[in-house]
Amino acid sequence: MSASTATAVSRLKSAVIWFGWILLVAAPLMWMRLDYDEATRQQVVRFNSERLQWWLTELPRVLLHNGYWLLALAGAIIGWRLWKKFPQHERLNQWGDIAKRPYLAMPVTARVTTLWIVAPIAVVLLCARLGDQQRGWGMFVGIYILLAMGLNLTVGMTGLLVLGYGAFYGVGAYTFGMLHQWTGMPFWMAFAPAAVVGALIGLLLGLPSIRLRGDYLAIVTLGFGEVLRILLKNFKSVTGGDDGISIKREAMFPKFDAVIGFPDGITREASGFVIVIVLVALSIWLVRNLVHSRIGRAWIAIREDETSAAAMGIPVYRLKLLAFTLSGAWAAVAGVCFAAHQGHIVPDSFGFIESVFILSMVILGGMGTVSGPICGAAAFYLSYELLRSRVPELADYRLMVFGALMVAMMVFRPQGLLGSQQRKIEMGLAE
Amino acid sequence: MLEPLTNGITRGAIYALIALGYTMVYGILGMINFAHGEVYMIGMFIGILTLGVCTSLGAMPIGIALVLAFFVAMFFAAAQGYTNERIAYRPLRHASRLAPLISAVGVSIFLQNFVMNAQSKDIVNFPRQYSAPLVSPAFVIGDARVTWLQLFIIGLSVALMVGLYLFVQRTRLGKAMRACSQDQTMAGLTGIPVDRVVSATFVIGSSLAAAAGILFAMYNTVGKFDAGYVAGLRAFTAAVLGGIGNIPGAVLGGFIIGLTEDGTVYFWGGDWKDIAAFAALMIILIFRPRGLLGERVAEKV
Repeated sequence: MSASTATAVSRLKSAVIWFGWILLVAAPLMWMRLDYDEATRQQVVRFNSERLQWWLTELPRVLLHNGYWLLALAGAIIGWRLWKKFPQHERLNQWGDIAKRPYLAMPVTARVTTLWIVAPIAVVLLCARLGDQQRGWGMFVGIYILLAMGLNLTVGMTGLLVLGYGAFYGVGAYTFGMLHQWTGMPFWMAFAPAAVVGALIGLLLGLPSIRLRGDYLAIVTLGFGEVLRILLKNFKSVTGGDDGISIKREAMFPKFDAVIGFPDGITREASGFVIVIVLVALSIWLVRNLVHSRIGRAWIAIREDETSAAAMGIPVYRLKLLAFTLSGAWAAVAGVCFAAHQGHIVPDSFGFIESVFILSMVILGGMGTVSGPICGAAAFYLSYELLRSRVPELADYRLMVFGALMVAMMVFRPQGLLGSQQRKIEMGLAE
Repeated sequence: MLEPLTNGITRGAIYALIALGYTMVYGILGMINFAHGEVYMIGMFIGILTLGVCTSLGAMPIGIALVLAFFVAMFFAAAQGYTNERIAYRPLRHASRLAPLISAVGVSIFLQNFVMNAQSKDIVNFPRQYSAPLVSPAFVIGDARVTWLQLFIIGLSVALMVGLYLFVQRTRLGKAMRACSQDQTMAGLTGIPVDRVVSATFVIGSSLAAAAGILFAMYNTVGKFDAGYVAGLRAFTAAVLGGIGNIPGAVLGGFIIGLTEDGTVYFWGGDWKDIAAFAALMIILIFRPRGLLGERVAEKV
């Protein structure tokens, strides 16, 4: 038996042992079920037969039935592995000579101009091709991209873990909602005030960061998010409490009955999709420039070693506050889009689970990059939605899968799907 | 006036028990075990299930059933804590601070939804007949009625805390824990099995949380799959309040949080109790970042 077979066997053995151990640990919760016995009027325990049966018969059936998902995933992973096996220079050759590729051979200004002409046409064409449901998904992908990019400014760039980001999202939605309630303001006028309020609240949350580091800060942000949500629930006269705020139709994303060139009219989803895509494009442009500026570099320096960064003369606290402020503004803009699409907002839409979603998007895609959160948001939201619409049987299991995914990402690929090798080394060896 | 005091002390004793788990893990690994609240919730569920089994088995003295429930729940919660540590935290022992925290959030979401799927989305009742004999009032001070159940909760919690304190101060393993919390590398060099000490910390903390889970279910009469999130946050707040990593601090913090919460309910109403704990946490952290009993530590490069 060769050495590699021996390792494989021992790994298999430990995997089997772990599987058995986990089954043992989970045994009481999996096999037993509480039941009310009418005869004795007592709560008794029964064998959890229905659920066990479901797990043993129905679950494999559902998975097999939707096996192409798993196959596609496995194919993608294998393909990625093979791609990685090629040495760097061979990979470049596969793309061909850069000079022969028309777009890349252009000077930068020409490339930017082309992009500005091509991109809007592409968006409109894409929008026209899609159905309303897909447009809705596309709009939500855009909203989550905005959120993930905003959170990435604090978590990814500056290394400040924020666990209450959903609250900022809510701040945006509620600023719009309340302004609308008082003045009847339409959504497009609400972007600026919402961004300002989001930024101010981000600044407020950033203030404790002057004294707190790491985990403490994470918990304070979490508490802050919860407090904000409870305040929204409790100030019933202003926020409507649990009933939330309704937004009138004319203040939401616009809807046109018939326009020249669009005989069927433009639906709310279509206009929302285009507006959100424009915002996403704007935010990509802003974030890219920000990250490559002095500020972005200073953020990365703070993330890598705060004390050294301060010693190098970087105004650490001011930059941290800036990260919080901008991140708050980003989420608030996304919140306005959310309210303008939904037409009704309630405090519970912006709870801890929402924060965790956004955080997992950033982690999944790759913290500290520009493209990472974009891909993370798209992959995460689309898989979540597709799982809901295509495999409704598994709806209750989605969060379980994402929890496990978060652990797996941290253990196996801490830099995220698109993260850099540099980030991996940081995540692995820092401190 | 005395009622929020007695209720707050009872609740505080439970929070203190959970907070001990947070503080011990933080003391040794320097990480927030975000999934600790979920271990508490699992302890609660397994305790209720064990009592259900006792009911199904037929006539059994209440005392024996309760003791059985505590032992079974503490055993399984300890196993859960150990598993969490091995799977989600140990591979990240030397990673940056962010990685284990995110992984812990993942474990927490996973376990919460696992219990929701395997057990129930709704509340589950604590079987009344096991707590009924204790609900009668033991004595009355002023306008406050103190029930035997409250005395039982406070008594058991204090006994467990004293037990833990003696364990950490007097036994070999406790000494090893203190050594690891001071300097893991050095402890390893002197021959202390660091990995095993860390596992033991998780096991002890998780079993305390399970005990707290059953006590809370008895007191509150119901349990739910998301109970661990709220209780975990409160207990974590308590640990930070007292100075995280500090065992007497966690106990002090637990009582303060319990009293704050019941005081808020008494004076302002139930809607505000969640805010009270967080507001306390934020104020304390801003003005005294190391907590009430924590000592100041210089930041190292």
